[in-house]
Amino acid sequence: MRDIIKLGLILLIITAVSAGALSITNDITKEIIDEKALEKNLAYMKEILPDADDFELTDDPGILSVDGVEEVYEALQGGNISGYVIKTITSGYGGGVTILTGINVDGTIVAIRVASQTETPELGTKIAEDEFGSQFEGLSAEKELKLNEDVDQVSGATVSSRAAINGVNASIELFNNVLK
Amino acid sequence: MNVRKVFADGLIFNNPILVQMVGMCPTLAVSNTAMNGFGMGLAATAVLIGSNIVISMLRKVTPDEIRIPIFIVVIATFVTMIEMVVHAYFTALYDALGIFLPLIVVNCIILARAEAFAFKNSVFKSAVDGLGNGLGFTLALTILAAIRELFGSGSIFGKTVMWGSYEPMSIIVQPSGGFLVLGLLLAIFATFTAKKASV
Amino acid sequence: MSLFVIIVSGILINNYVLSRILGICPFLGVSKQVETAAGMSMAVTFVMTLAGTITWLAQRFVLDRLGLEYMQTVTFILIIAALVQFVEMVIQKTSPTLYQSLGIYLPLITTNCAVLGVSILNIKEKFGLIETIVNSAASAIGFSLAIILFAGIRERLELSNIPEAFKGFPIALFTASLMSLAFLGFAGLV
Repeated sequence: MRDIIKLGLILLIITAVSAGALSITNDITKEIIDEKALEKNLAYMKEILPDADDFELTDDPGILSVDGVEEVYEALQGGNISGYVIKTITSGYGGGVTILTGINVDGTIVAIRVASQTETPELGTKIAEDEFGSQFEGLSAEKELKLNEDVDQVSGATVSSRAAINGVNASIELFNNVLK
Repeated sequence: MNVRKVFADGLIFNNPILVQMVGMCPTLAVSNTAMNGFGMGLAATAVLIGSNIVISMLRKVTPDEIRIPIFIVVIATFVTMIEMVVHAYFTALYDALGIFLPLIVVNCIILARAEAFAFKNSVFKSAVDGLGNGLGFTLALTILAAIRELFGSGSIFGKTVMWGSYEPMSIIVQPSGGFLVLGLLLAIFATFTAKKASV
Repeated sequence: MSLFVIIVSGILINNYVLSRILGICPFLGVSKQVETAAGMSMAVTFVMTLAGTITWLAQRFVLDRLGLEYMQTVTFILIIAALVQFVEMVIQKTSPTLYQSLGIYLPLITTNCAVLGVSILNIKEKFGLIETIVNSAASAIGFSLAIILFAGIRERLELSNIPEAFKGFPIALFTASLMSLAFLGFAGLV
């Protein structure tokens, strides 16, 4: 019995040291990782709302009320909010699909960008292409969009297309319930 | 066993991929571009050297009964550390390697070297063994990846190499092509070493 | 994702061995005979389904709650190692013949990247508990399908006339290449 306790203790100590080492490494690298992610998103956001001169991350707790919404950026023009860029992550085929949806304060969808996805090459990855994404431009953010009614899916890639439209719909829901 | 032999064994004569035939999963999956293969190889080498060193340092105080779980914790710790570093400083590689970065922890090479070498040898020799095997893995992986990238995308390390009208055989950079090219490579290597042995 | 899509995807479209390239070591190592392959598949299916579920629970109720997400790799692999030990003991007691024929490949399930792979993917795809269980089982069935089919072909290959250089792994890899090519046809099914 004593043996098992001793063995268990040794394993526990080593795991604790491991946790400690990883915690330190995590603290060092997390900042850099977050910074790089922000840079990448900023580039997309400038594409979506080119007239905005600044983007600010909201820390309004209300954004957590909608499933799938990760972050919300206010697009500022001359100090006033001209629109929002909402980042959502929804389940696709090969993992999470990150969508950035730009919505004007007047309730129109300006554009969307697929920030990251790991969908099937040549099929699901088509949601990141202009042909699919441009369908969203100019649509009203009054209510949810329906696949194959308001927007055509990518043929043979239902799941990926659904993930994309779910992301946009989550942004629409958030815009109508919280941000307006 | 002198240090030079330890290194040469890992690099060539006991090459992880071509001779020991371990670590197949990442070999087939990340060898679609030379850069990915090379990056994966270096990441795995870093983990291998780190874990070999630590396991060798702990070998006198490690109870035999729980040595495998301890190896696993040490290896997993290094893998997670490398994961974080790659994510922070080599984000493109991180995205490309995807799930295979954390999967380095179950790369049989690392556990095999821990069990077969690091647990029984000095810290310095273990580090060299890690370096040799790691570089051997990287070498074979990069060559395989370069071949696949060359014929499958017409480029090497991202630089287009093939003539303009070359139509890349994109199947080569898909899983199916991976199996094919590795099989060919192994057959060629086998013929080569058989000839050497019979000479 | 509907459960039906998860099942079809796990078994056919994103087959762990032939599409995702996970679980290759046992795929190449334990596929010389259909019987051994079948035994191995059952063990792997059991471990994968259980491991996927337990790791999901660990992530949800321990790692996430304590903000220890970076301990995922360490925790998951320890859970899997413990599970495999447990399965080993069970098989040794209930079927010594199976235990003998699986040999070293049984403890090697720990390093089967498909098991750790499915655990990580369940979290990445943000599955709920039911979806996790279904996905783990479906992926395992996909693995079993691939390995048993492969064993069937390899058994036949043993009796064929193969050039010296291609014997063993090379011809096996060519076969796998063709199987993977065939399974590509399932892409875009859903």
